[in-house]
Amino acid sequence: MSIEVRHVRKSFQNFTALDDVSVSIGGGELVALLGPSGSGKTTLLRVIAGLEIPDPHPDSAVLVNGDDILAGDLRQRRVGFVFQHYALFRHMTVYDNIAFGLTVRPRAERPPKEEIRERVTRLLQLIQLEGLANRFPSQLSGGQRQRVALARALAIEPKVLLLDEPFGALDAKVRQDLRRWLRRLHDELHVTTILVTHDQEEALEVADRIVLMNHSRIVQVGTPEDVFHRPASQFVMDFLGHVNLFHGRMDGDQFVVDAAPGAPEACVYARPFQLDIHRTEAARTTTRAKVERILAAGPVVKVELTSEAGDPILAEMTHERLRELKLAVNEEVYVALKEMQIFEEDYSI
Amino acid sequence: MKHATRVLPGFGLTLGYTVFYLSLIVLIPVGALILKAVSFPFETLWQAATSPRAIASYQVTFVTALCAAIANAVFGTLVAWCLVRYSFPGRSIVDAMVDLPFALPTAVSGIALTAVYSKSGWIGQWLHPLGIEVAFTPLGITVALLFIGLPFVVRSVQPAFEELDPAVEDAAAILGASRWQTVLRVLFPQVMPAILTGFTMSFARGLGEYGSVVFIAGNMPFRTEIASLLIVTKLEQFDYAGATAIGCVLLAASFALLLAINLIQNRWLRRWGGAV
Repeated sequence: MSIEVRHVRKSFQNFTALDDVSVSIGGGELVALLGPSGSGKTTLLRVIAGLEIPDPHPDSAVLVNGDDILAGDLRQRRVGFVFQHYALFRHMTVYDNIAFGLTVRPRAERPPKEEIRERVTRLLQLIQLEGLANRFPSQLSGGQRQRVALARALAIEPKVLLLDEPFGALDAKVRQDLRRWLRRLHDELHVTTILVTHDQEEALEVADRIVLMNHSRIVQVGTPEDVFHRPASQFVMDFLGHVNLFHGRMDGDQFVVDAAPGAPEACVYARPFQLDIHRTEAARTTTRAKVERILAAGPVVKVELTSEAGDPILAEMTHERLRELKLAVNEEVYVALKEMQIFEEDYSI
Repeated sequence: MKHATRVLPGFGLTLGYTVFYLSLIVLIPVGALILKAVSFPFETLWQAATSPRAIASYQVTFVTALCAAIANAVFGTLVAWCLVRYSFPGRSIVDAMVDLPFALPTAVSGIALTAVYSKSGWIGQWLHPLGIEVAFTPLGITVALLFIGLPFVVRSVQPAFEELDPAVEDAAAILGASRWQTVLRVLFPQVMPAILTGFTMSFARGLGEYGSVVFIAGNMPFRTEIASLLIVTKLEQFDYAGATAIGCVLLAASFALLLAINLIQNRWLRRWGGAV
């Protein structure tokens, strides 16, 4: 089911959480709402869920499959919502937690007991916790609790699934596993899903599309490749991973670091993997730098350098390249830009 | 044996102090009571403890204390809910008022309640024509116990409501629960252990209450005479065996009840573990 948010505004007392936000999400998509804390992403999710009511405005609408749901009752929305801290019912077993959305239905709409049992059993299989139906939430690990929360949300066969930083409270390893599991689950169920996260890696890995938010507004919408390789602004570039910032000027299409006085200033961004290190001055050399640290434990080698101007630079290279260069700490080398991103305006932080 | 080093200092000191203090304040007086009891022949004790007047007094005591504790559990929970969930003008005054029964001398509250609920009192004059007599009846005892027991329930349930995770209510609503279903199936069971704590304390206090009850009860043997008053009466008649016997019965019954409720509660809390 598609979701369309039109011109939604939401303010709390004197704080604007959503400032004229519009976004549309296609049926069956998995979209990540990504942004720093306080950017309004959770508020947007809660508005879509019906947990927050947007400020009244003639243009405002939240449509699920074309129906304006701001008018309807929260309980009729059939929205699955997963909370950051699970929000499980601690006095109920795993089974009762998952069955809750079915057992609270009015008698006429409630499925018969056997059907509820069947559905819960199926969901328990889906979250791979078949043996734990009679446990209480406190007897489960964080990752297991979050999977129960997900099963509970799925039990009502939601039209849309909304996840509010679902992996935020889990440790890194579990988070990675759950992330992949969620992606596989989505590929199986094809429920339109919105995932709120402040972890860019999570968003890039899981989502079909990413909606980037900052200061209560949407700053870019696009596929992970789009936003990563073609960031719309310096903020997006900066938020999606480590960047090196070089000040200088443009000489034709060549960027020169040493800013001659009076020349128009330029500002380029390059990610660590877009940098090359050379022993000798090469064609695309940008600056001389001193090697500060070499971090070789990992899939790629990270080299920390300091430019002549004293700015820190982070470069990444393969282990082969490191062996080829025979780099050592405190050596003087040349840093070259393989690729870069130029922002002519909006480069002041 | 190597001693494990603990992070918190003073384990020996605090445990020693706890044992010493509990002995001095609780165990020794209770022990003295039991010691006194065994100095009498069992026959005498048994007769005193099972005399019809004594049995009637147990009945009055337990029934009134139970009724008051149940009513307090219900209404105290309501008061706690109001104080936690709603903000209204004068909330802090109401909040402070809840503690008054703790502070007021029981004699003062007993006399005040008697004055208000007697036939010519402010409330009693309206109840009398309806055929409801409060003062000098078991109902009056219950009213006095309601008064002194309320803060126990409110003060134990209030923090339980405060620490409820609002996301859990959101979750219930989004899963389709009506507001009543959310209250009955989600909120209420979560604060149940706290309500039980409040109920237990209110009940225990009701069993032992003396000061406020003697004024409003009328103290008619077989009708409105509570066990603790009977003990005092026996003492005044120098019937130490009788007083000791009734004291022991009260002690045993109270201890058994408190233990049972504590066990139930432990089972709940173990199952639920910490905050989820």
